[in-house]
Order: sequence, then C-alpha cells, then structure tokens
Amino acid sequence: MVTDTRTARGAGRPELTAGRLRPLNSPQPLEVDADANGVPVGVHLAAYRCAVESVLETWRIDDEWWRDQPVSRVYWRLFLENGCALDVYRDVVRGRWYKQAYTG
Amino acid sequence: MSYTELHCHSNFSFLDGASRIEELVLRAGELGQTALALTDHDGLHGAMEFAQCARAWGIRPISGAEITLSNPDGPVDHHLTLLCEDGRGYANLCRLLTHAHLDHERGEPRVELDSLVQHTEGLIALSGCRHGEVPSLVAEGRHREAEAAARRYARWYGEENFFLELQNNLVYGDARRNRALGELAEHLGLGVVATGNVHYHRQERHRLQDVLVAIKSRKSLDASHRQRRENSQYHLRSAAEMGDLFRDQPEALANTERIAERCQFDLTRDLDYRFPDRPVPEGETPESYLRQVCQREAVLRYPKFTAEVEERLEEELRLIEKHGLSGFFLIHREILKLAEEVAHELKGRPYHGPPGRGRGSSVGSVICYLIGLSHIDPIANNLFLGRFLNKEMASVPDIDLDFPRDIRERLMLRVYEYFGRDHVGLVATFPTYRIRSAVREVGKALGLPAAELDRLAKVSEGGSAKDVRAEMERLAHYRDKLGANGARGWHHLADLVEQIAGFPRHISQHVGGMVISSRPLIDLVPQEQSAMGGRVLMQWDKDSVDDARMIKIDFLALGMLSAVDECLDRIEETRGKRIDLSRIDFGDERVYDTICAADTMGVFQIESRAQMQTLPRVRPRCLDDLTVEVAIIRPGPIIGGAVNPYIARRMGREPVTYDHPSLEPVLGETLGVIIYQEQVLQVAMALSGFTAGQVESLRRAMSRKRSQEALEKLKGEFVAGALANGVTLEVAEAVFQKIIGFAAFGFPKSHAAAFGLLAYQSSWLRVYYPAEFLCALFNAQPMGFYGPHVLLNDGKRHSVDALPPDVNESRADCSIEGDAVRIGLRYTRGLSREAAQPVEAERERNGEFRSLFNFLERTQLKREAVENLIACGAFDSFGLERRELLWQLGLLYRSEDRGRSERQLALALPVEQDMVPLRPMTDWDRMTADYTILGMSPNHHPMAFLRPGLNEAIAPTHVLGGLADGKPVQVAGMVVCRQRPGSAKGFVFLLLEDEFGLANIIVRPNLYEAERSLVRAEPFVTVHGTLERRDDTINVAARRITALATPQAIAPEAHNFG
Repeated sequence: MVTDTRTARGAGRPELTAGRLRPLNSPQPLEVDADANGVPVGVHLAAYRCAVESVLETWRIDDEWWRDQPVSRVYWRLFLENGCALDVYRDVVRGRWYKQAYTG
Repeated sequence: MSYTELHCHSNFSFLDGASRIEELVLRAGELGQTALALTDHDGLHGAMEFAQCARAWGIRPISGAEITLSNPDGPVDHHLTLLCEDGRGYANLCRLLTHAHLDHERGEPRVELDSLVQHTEGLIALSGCRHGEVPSLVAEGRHREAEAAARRYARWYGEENFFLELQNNLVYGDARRNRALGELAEHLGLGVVATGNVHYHRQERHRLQDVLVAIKSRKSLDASHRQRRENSQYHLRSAAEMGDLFRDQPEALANTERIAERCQFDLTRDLDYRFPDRPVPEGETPESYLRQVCQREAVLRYPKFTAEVEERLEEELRLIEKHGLSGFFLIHREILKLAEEVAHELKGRPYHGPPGRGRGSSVGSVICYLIGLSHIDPIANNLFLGRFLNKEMASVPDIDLDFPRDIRERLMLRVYEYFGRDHVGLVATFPTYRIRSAVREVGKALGLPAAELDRLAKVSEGGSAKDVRAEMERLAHYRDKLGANGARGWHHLADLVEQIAGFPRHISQHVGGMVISSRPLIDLVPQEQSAMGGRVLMQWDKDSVDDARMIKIDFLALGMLSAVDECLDRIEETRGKRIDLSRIDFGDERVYDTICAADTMGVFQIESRAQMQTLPRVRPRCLDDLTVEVAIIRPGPIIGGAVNPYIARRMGREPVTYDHPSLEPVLGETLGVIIYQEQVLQVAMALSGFTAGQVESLRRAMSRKRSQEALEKLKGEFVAGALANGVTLEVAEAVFQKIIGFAAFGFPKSHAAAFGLLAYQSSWLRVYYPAEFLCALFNAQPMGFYGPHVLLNDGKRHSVDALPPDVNESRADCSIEGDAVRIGLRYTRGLSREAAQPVEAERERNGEFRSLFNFLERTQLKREAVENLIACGAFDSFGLERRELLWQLGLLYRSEDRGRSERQLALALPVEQDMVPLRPMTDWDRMTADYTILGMSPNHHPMAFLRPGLNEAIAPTHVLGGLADGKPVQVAGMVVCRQRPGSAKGFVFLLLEDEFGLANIIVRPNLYEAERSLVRAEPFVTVHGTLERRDDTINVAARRITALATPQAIAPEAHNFG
C-alpha cells in the first residue's frame, strides 16, 4: 500500500475551500460626523478625526429589495483635509456608515 | 426657482416606464409644475391620453419622444430626446417614428441619421440620456468626438434648438459627465438643460420598474442585474430637489422653463385631421349629390313615399348638412360598393344580398338604410335617430359594419389600395395586465415557484390585477403566504401585481377599426407593424382616435354572417335552391315555436344559457319581441334590474308601472323598464330636460374608462333638471342610479333590431335546413357559445348525423352527404385548411385513393397529420384496423426516420413478416382519439361508456323534465360550458352534457369557493342537488359536486366564460 502523503505536504497551509475565500474590498464600519442634511463633515480614522474638505461626488445604489437583506446605500467620495480621498457610504436601511473604495 | 420636466416616460414605454400617465400628471401638479413633457421610447402611443389628461388637470402637455438612433459604428444604438415646438415638428416626429418602425424589424425601431436630418424642422433636440451619442462619448473621455457630434447636431437642428442634456440620477459618474457636458456646451456656445429621465412618479415605484425590466429581459430580478437600473432615483422631483442636484449649473434649470415655453404645440387643439372629400359629379356638391342618391333610393325602397318618410329624410339631410357630413356618408357608400366588388370576386358570383350590415346606432338612420349601410327600415321599426345624429353632436357619428370574415379581410386591404396606403390606418389596442398575466410574469421575475404561480393564476377569476390580494385571501393555500409568516416574495407579489394592474403590455390590433384621412396619416400619428405580417397599425387606440376627432370605421367580422352565407351556398349546392333571406316568412309559427322552447343551440345571439332560460318565459312571437330578447340579456339591463320586472310584466304577473308619468312614452314599448341604450338617453331628456348634447356627453361618459369625473358632473345636471321639472329628489336619484347601473353595456334598439333579424334568419335556417346549418356552423368555427362537439350532439338530437372524416369522401371543409354532415379533413389536428385543400384537389384530379401507400405517394402531408387521419378513422374505408394502419405507416416511413432529408417511402407494400398482430382499438379508444384529434366524436358520447358504472340514482338528463320541483336529484355529465358572469353575484353556471342531452347546474358562491379547482377544471362531474322548475326552465341547484373518474384521461374542450 502507498502512503498518502498529501495531508503531510499540505500541513500548515490554509485549506482551499469556499469557507476560506475572503471577499476583497469588503465594507469597514466607520464613524462619520454628518451635518443636518446628512452630508459627511468629518470621519474618524484609526487614530484621529479628519475633517471633510469637500464632497467630490455622491451616488446611490438600491438593489436586492426582494431579498432578506436589501441593499440601499448613499455613497460619498470625500476629499479630506489630510489630502486623501475616501469613499464612504451610509447604509440607508440600517443607518450605519462604512468605508469602501468604489470603482463603478 | 421653477422647473419643468422635459424627459419623462410613462407605462407606454412598454415594460420600462412604471407609472400611469395620470399618476405622472397628478404628481407633476403636486410638485408645482405647470407643464410636463412625455417622451416615451420610440412612440407616441400615450401622447393623446397624456395631452387630454394633462389639460384636464391644468398642466400644459408637451409632446415628444425619446428616439433610438442607429449607430453603425458601435454595438449600442444611441438615444435622442425630441420635443415638438409646433405642428411641423409634430408631423416630423410622426414621420421619424414611422420610419423607425416600418423600415426595421418589428420591435427594433431605430432612426438612421440621414432620415433624422430630413425631419428636424419644428423640433427641439436634447442630447439624450447617458446612451445619447454626445453624453456617451463624453463619459468615455472621447472629447474630440463628442465635440464633433455636438457640432453636427447643432448644425442639423440649429444652435438654438439643440441642448446638451444633463441628468443626475445619483448614478456613479453622473456628476463628472454633467461637468464635462457643461464645459463642452460653454466651449461650443450651446445651451444645457437638466432633465430627470423620469421612469416613475414616486421613488417607491422603482421596485415595479425593476420588475418590468426583468420581465422585458425575460429574466428573474436576480439574473437581470445588468439590465436593471442602479437605484431608485428616476422619479419626478420638485424644483428644489433639482436645484440641489444642479446647484453648480443653474442655467440648466432655467432652460427647462424656456424650452417648455417654446413648445406650444397642443395635441388637444392643433391636430389637423380631415376626412377625405370624395369627388362628386360636375355641378353637384356633396350635399346635393347625397340628396340625389337618397331620393333615388327612397323611391325604390318605399313604394309609398309617405310624409313620414319624407320628413325623416329631410330631417337627417338637414342635420348632415349642418355638421358637414355629406362627404362622410358618401365615403361609406363607396366602401360598401367596394365590399360588393370584393364579395363578387371572392364568391365568383353576386353576393346573397348586401355583404355588409350596419350595427349599432347607425341602423336608426333612414339615410344609412337608403345608401345600403343598414338593412333595417328605421321607420317601420320605429328606431330612434337621436343617438346617431342630433343637433348638438360634438363628434362624427359611429358607424360599425359587420362582414363575413373572408370579405372583411379582403375589404380592409382594398380600402388601403383605394384611399392610398398613407391615408389609411388600423386602430391599435393595448392589451393590459390582468390578474393571471400579472401573477405569472411578476411572480417569475420575483423567482417564486412556477407551479405555485400557475395554480394561483388558474384558480383566480381572471379579473383586474388589483384584486390579487382579495383573491389570495380567498384561497386558503395562498392566504397563509400573505400572513406574517409568509415569505417576503409573496408579499411583494401582491403589492406589485396591484401596481401593474392595467399597464399596457404591448401594442396589438383593434378588432376592426380603420381611420381614413385626407392628410397623410403619418403626419398625424406614427405607424408601426402589426404582429400579423403586412398590416400597419396607428400608435393610438380607439379612445385616442376618438379624442383626436378622427373618424373610425369599424369593419367587424361576424362569424354568423359567414355561417349564414355558407349555409345558403350548401343549400344551393345540395338542393339547387337559391334562398333570399330578406324574403322569408318572418312570422313563421314553427320557427317561433322552437325559439319559445329554447331549442336554439347554434342560433345567433339567443343560444346562451341565459337566453335559453329567458326564452320560454318571454315567448317571442315576432321580430319586435326578438329585438327585446336580444337586448335584454346584456349586463346593462341585468345590472340595471330590468330583466325580472320585464319578464313578470310580460307574463302578466305584475302591472306595468313607471317611476314618473313623463317616462311612459319612452318606456312604454318595454313595459316600463330600460332595455335599450337610447332609452337611457330618452329618459334623461324626458325627466330632466337634457339636451341632445348633454345626452351625448352622458353616453360617452358611460362608455369610456376615464369618465368617473364626467359622470359625477352630469349627475348634478340631471338631478337639477329633474327637480326643475317637478320630479322629487328621491325619484331623480333613483332613476339616475338605474341609468348608471345600465351604463353603456346595453344595445341600442337599432343594433338589437339588426341582431334580432339575424337571430330569426339563423333560427329559420336551423329549423328548415338543419344539416346545412350545422355544416355551416362547423365551417365558420370558432364562433358562438358552444364548441363543435356540443353542436354535433345537438345535431344528433335533431336527426342530423355527423360522419367521420374519410380521405375518399371528405372535402377540406365539412360538407353535406345526404342528411348528414361529413366532417372535413381540416378538422383533423395538424391539418390546416391549406394542407387539406391539396388532398381534396388531388382526389378530384386523379380519383380516389386506393391505399395508405397510394395516399402517401400522392399527397405531401406530414407524418403526424397522416397518423391523426388514421387515428380518427379517415382510412377506415380501406378495411384495415387503425392500429394496423399506424404500424404500416411506421414501416413506410422508416427511411425518413433514418435521417434522410427528403421523404422517401421504404417499400410499396410491407411484407408479411413486417406485420405483427395488434389488438383492435376499443370503442372507448376510438372515442378518445376522436376527441383528441377532432375535438368531437361523431359516433360516441363518453357518458354512454361511463353510464353502466354509475350509481343507479344518477338521473339521465332526459328524465329531468319529468321530475317535480324541489326533488333531490343526482346528475352526471361532461362539463361543456362554465360561466361566472360578473352580474351573477358569485354564482357559477355549469352546463353538463350526457348521451341524452344537457343539464343546467347552478353552483352557489360558497360551494364554488369550497370546490373552486374542481368546478373550474374537472372535465366530468357528478352533481347532487335539488331540481328547480320555473315556468318551462329546469335547473339543478348543486349541493355537492364530485369529480367523475374516467378510465383514461379525456378532456373535451369546454367553453369558459368569466
């Protein structure tokens, strides 16, 4: 009988199963300060609060309303005072903010 | 700041726009807009309805469309928004859209640039949505090409007439594209304009829009991600919202107002339609010529030209002259002459009398009688003129013409040729979503299980999609799905099906309406191809045509006219007798005896279950009585509560009374109740002093779907008038209620008289020439209340046998053989008339077929058709069993089965070892084959086979007549008809047939609800109930219904109504 060495060779590596696949660019919760109209004026980054210098663009997505987890988001492309651009969205259904780079 | 929406789609952007016109108009009003443009995709289907609706709500309508432009250089065609500044622009838009539809594949309209360039005058062009040429080039960063394209459009339309269109629907990229378009406009000195690309009136309607897109792309919502819109932001917005979205480009908002101000073309006012004038002899005017024609005819038709005739003729001529309608009547006369020519060509001989018959109110006119439009003398029949012609009429009168089917088809083509293709159009109709179609299509988009949707669609009543929730609540299986624990999808289904109710699904052809115009029609309304090859439709339905004050002539196909014509031919062929139906005895006792006995199956208009229940009680004995009989079984008199009082009064069981003495002259002939449509109008005149014009408004309000407002207004006028005439408020309101109950769903007397005459004539033919009549009915199918198998069994009960198809005896159509009807070859499934005629012709040419092989050699029929001919007995005369013949057929076709492209028969004769012993078909097998292949069985009735296995207590139908009223009874039979009339308060009527006759079953609403799927779908049932005998009618009131099992599945076709 031939010994099965596959387990030994693969030891230490993560198994390639569906459970191990990770979505790229998944939304990250973010604390956002918004004005009375809901427009972001500041974001709380890892170490500090950063003010929004300008809103570059706003767009919205509504989808999957027929499913248990409908998608309804208002996106903002922000230009921050630190000179960086950041895409954030407000989950309209749940009322929470997230950051997520958007490429269309 | 103000804003006018200039880019808006209604649900006439089929399966894309998700709001009705009225919803859009009302919402625009709420948002403070004073004008609104409708720009549906590639069409003006909703333009007239929009213009009328907007005007009614105080919004100024702007006509326009979003057209698809051919893009030879890219994979996707471009869009362009066009708005009509004036009448010239409107005509140009109509021509462009006509070109887009007629010069391309059906359903793929598009405009070529060279055509666009030729039709720019009077139009304002906006660069379109993001699929527009300029916006799409800008979005792709191809700025030079975008600039070149913008310059090109500006050159074509003129710089002041071309605007770069800015849309911000909060889609990723909108803001950048708008900035770039703004810069381009500034660079070129062009204007910018903001639009909303509106697809629904409120944001929440976006779900329906998603569903429509999924339906259109034939996918589920899950699978149509790429086709659906990104978000819910394509709704009408207020000026403030638009101001927010375009705060950096205020000029774009201001331009919406400037453009709206420029677009002054108004479809409710500026459409220049004219009916064609026909040339008249030199020295004559249309008026003098019509007078001359009428006087000439009057001498022939009225040997006694009485003062009454003269007075009536003069009155009509005066009215026609006043309204300038002489040409209109002369044109109709020409059309009837064309019909005579066509009939002569088709039949190869002069027709049996005039080929067309007027129906409706035109039958009340003596001029129509004289010029051949109607065949009923309105003076002798005391017919009311006022509905057809009166002093105050606001539109031209309606004229409907009935023709046999074949003549109608050919006549419509001839009318095209005669008046010119550009001057004639077929009226469209828009099939709308009703509950069944909506449940199936919306449910499929939502991804709900197909079997569950199908079941819901089948057991529902098939009414308005608005009733879906009530329907689901009624059915236990679906009620739970709407509960708190029901899946989300079913809740969405109920919501969305309610929303989609009445949405137009696509364009189709109206039953026979044609419009003739002196100005080319393509300047007035776009034309497009119909699904039936070669036919061209206008983009408007009958309401829009009516609103445009266009003259619609209805060329209707009446199956009974075809049948009567055919019957006369058969009589002439078999008996050498030519019958003139205008000269038969109209007082024949034998004919009226059969009518009074409700022995009227197959007779025009008086054959239905409801008619048969009424005939023995009303007992018509003359044409006037038949006129009432035809008119009384209509939703108007039924809902208006006229039927039972009329019958009771006719039978002398209650006195004739009137709501008010002033109504006696009007309602005297119908014993005090409203039966005819014009009586509604005469009642209004008598009781409240309505003028002919008010009466006409009332009639129109009752007959149109968008009329509730108008009806309320008229009620006020009616009650006020009645009070002024000394009528009490109570009586005035009660009478108005009867009028509304009647609505328009009744016949005018003139129409009923025309139909009553045809009812008598068909009855007369059935009594004296039953075989020829049955044969003619078979050949004119589909028509009438009963399927051919029911007619066949009725024929047997009247000593008319039906003979099975026979390849050596049958013609393509059914024919007469002695006193029997030989079923035609084309009745065989898989064998059309076109395929059957060559078989008959081959036999005529080269003699009888000698064997199956000989038949196959000499005909080109497909294998399935031959199999069916064998299975229904068409080769029985060769002396072989049907199964043996089928086996032989298999052997003869072997070579084809091996994949040869051309049919080649294997062997002239099968050799002995090829044959196997086969059990002969039983009589039951033969009968089921007959029903499957012919839809009827000439020799057997299924109940005769089932009878020995039935409980002895089950009564055959022929003994029901001898049972006492109130006796418990059981009957069993094949369901041949199911009816659930809207006016019957939930009662269902079944007609059961056994081998002896028919039985009427009444199913109460609660029993129906409990056994709905059984009642709606089971082909054979047993009914336990109580016999109800009323005068000479017999019914069984069902208490319990069970399915009756058959040895093998057999499902004869039943006619289902409601």
